[in-house]
Amino acid sequence: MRLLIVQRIILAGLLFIWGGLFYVQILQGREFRQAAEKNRTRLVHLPAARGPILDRHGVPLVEDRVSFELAVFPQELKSPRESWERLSPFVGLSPEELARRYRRDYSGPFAPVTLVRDIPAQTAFLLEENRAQLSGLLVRPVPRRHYLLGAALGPVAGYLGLIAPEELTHLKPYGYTFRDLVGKDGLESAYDRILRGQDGGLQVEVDVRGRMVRQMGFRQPQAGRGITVSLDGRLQSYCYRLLEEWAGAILVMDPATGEILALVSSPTFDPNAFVDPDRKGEVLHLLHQPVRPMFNRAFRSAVPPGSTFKVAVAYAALEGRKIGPDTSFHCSGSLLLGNALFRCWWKEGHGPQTVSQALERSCNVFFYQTGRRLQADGIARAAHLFGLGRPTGIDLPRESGGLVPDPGWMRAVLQQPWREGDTLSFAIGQGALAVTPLQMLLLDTAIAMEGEVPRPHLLIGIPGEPRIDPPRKAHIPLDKGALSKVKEGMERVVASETGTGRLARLPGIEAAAKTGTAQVSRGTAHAWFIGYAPKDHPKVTFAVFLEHGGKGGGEAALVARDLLAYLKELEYL
Amino acid sequence: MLTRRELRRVDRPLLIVTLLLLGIGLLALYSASLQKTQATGIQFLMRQLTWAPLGLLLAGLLLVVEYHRWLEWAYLLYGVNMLLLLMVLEMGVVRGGAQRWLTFAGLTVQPSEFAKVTTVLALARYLGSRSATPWGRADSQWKAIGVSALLALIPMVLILKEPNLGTASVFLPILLAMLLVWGIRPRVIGLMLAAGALLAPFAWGRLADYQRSRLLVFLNPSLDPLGAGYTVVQSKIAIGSGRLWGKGWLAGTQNQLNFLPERHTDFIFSVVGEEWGFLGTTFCLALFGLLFYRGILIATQTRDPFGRLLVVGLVAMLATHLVVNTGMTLGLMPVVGLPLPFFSYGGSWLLTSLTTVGIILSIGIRNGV
Repeated sequence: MRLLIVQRIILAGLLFIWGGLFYVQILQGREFRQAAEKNRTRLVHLPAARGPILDRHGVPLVEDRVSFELAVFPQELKSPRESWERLSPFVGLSPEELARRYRRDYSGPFAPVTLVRDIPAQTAFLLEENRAQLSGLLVRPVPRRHYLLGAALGPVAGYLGLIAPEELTHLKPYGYTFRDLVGKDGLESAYDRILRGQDGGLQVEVDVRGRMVRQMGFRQPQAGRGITVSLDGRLQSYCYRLLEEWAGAILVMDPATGEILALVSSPTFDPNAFVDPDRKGEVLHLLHQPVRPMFNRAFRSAVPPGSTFKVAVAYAALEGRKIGPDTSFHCSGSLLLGNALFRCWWKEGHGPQTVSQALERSCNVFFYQTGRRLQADGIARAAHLFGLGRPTGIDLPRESGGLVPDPGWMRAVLQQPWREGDTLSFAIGQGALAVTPLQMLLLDTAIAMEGEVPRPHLLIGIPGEPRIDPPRKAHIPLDKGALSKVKEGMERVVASETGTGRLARLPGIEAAAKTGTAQVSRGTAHAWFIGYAPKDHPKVTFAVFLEHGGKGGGEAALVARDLLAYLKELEYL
Repeated sequence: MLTRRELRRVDRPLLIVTLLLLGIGLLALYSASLQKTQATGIQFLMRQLTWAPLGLLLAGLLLVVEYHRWLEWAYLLYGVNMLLLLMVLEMGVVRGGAQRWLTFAGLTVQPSEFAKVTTVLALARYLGSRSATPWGRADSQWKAIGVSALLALIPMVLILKEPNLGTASVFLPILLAMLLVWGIRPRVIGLMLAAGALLAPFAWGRLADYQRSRLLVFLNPSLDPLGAGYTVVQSKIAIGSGRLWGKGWLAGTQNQLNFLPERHTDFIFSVVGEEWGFLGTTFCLALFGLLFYRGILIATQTRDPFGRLLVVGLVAMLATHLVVNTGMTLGLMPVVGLPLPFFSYGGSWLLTSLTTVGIILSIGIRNGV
């Protein structure tokens, strides 16, 4: 019967559809269920505030503030060009710039695109009032990092950047994700795990146009904890101003505790630039400048210490009985060794010099003679004794260890024999010897505190948490007698009318110091000035380093004098 | 008129299945028109609820009246309907780029839906009157084929002009099924299909761009996942995500959150699939299967060649709609806009579906004639 054929065809059609349903709903059901879930849920990222960095008096140096940013929803943007033109007068950016930013940051029809960051509250309110005319607009409050001292705290504060892939692999267990901003240098990096908050998220159900229908899940963002650091914001800013015209570093420390009161490197950068993607050009400029503003000279630049090193040599010679307190060498302005002439900086010659006189006037010839008695190994031992050649252990990343040469190193690395001339250079802090300003500060501290050397550090507390014990001090066993002669010499550097550091002398401040003028193969000498005050029971130790700055007793001493005056003003002295 | 005894002979399974499908369809439509995000309300449902009793009334009327009366009027009804189709082309309402609607006293109707029934009537009338010698004189058979093909072709061309490719294409299976039951040799059907295949490239050239793109996207939905393919992709996600048990009535996310376009009309089956799962879709398919089975049974039992042809044409029409519509929601058929009987929103279509059932039931009662 023909009807049977029709019936079978219809049955075949039904089975065909039924098979399709079975395939889609049963066999592929799981995948389609997932696709449906993905369709309807969106994750809104809620950034957590990062913890503040407070100075020793509790004054914020770095903090997150609520800032307003202007974003647009691509889905609801009816006519982009028209919107840019309308927005332009509110935010003070050209329509072309807005269009450029929109194109740059566009990621999908559902994700809001941030166009302007950190807009003034006034503008934010104005935009909010005019929302009706500006479709798809979103003004939202977000935490934004502010570096209140700007460039003054630049390399100490560090900066934030997107986590690098290789960093992520070892930070993942700690809850980091690829979109996280992490500290890239300085305190931001060293204490990232304290400072960073736990970002929150909002899981929302959206309709086909991406509009939120209801909230499905919520994780409150957890603000990061703050840290209190030993810096004094005022002092830090002041030191930054002192260095404004120089390249170099200034370090001030409380020698009793190792708390760093100021740590400034120059030239430097403003970490605020890294927070704002619209200042990327500025950042790139920073990275490519030949003066290396990102480079923290205070503990990363390894340079010859020049005459400041004589302090260590003098101590070692006294302690090793190579010279006595009254041993005198005659300075005629130079020393002939073989057929090479080693000069003193004072061409006329200092005449007969004892060790404290030689320190006071920074006589090279005296130290050439002393060095010959100590030998290269003796000088190297002195350098190591005072912590040179290895990092001090300050709580900031990537500290340089410097270099203390000796004949063994010379043979192994440079494949040259150590000559007696090398010993002479070594004795006056020249040659291959390389130190960081921070190391010189600690050498200076070791003298000032007679061997009780604290570890330099910045972190002194986490607000709302138990006190942090200061790091343990190192004890260098120093010979009291030898030490007193060295200290006498350093006191005379400032106090004596013929002292090389007399320019730093100020009424009411009894400082002790040593100047240094480190000759470099090219360009002006590095100027050094390390010291402590007051001379009995020192309250501060300091190091001034001016890269290609001229004379230690000149430019560096003048900077040190201003520093001492300000320390007195702040009642550190 | 109808006697009480005759009324008791109404095919109850067919009637119950129809009412069940109508009920489920209304539930699905309620869910499809209740949108969480766009407060359009349930206007679609309310309109459908006014059309449903009207359709049932019409079905009852068709049941009560002796169906030969309609066959007597078949050519007249057919002619009037063709006239209406012409009027659509002349003065119809344009919606969504197509001209398919006529407005009568505030009511908007779609004559192309009714044309399916009137064409089946005309074909039944024509073929039924010359069913005598199926294997006899070949020349009269060819003539019969030619005339019935013409009867089907006129509405097809008019509807294609609207344009409405889906509805136009329904006439082919109707014609083939009726010719088959009438007694045409299966070989001739094969010949017709071959001729159709040969003409296909020619027809391709006559299609509008959007129609072509729909067909291309059918072949490969990922061709345009945001444009023409979007609907199919979202529909498959909806149906598939229903899995075995479904997400529950009014709980389909694809439906409620607007991811499904056209969900109250052509894609209402996706809502069923999402919210009621494989069990729900299987149940619906089974109901439709039962409906067709009872229809064919009535055709088998009737001694009236006119009635048999009529039933076959109407069942073929409903079956084509079902297979093409559900197939398109599953991506198994091109998206051609054929509504699902008893489910899809649309007054004309609901009236047509119920009319069809009314006629079939009417034939069932009178199978002794």
